[in-house]
Amino acid sequence: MLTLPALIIDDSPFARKIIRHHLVKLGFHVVGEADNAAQGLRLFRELKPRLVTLDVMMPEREGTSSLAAFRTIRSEAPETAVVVVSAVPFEKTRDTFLNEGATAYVIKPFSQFSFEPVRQKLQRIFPAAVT
Amino acid sequence: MNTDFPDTGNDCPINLDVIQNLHDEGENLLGALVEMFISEVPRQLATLEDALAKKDPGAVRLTAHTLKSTGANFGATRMLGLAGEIEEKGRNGSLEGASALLVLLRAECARVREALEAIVR
Repeated sequence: MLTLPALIIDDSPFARKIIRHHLVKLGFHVVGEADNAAQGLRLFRELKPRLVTLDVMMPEREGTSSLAAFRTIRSEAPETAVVVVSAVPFEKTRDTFLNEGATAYVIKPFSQFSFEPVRQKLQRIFPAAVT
Repeated sequence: MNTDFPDTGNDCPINLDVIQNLHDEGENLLGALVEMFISEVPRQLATLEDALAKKDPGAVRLTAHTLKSTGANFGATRMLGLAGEIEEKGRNGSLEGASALLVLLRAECARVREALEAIVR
């Protein structure tokens, strides 16, 4: 079974720990964590992950918002899967990200049930890696 | 619901379904998160108090947002609501009443901690 590199971008250390747990369970290797979008973009370019989880509700740092980071990732590496994470189920926000190519949109707090649709989508994209 | 969890009554500051899900993940994920809560939240509250003392709306917004996110991961609705109100004041640049909210937030964080400790004990 392949182990693919993943990057977590989320300002909450609690969320990062929970997401890491779920990604490892799915068969990913978490190669980096960032607590803001600007740092996340730097790590994305450096580590070249196959999967990024991106918190959409992070306060803007160094002039980079989550949406800007998302668009940059999509434009620089469209083959990278991006799972967008949010604490609020705003339909408009969800539609924006999904229409622009997000792999999935998952709501906090997480559970095995909320991660199941993510697992299924990732399994279709990475059949040799995701369990 | 896991019957090992104590009955904390209707006024429970955390969502027990969320806690149950974290518990069911195994690998002591819940225990590690509770330990993180105990070590991180006092630090976050102190940072918020400092930001309020310095009347720094940007720092207030950032720290309150972090506390809001922390609460969200445990389904701590009142905690995240209070932190969200302070975050909003920081965003608007008007910190009037934020110190009073911090007092309430501090007390709510203590209730959340107590409930979490009762569960993992």
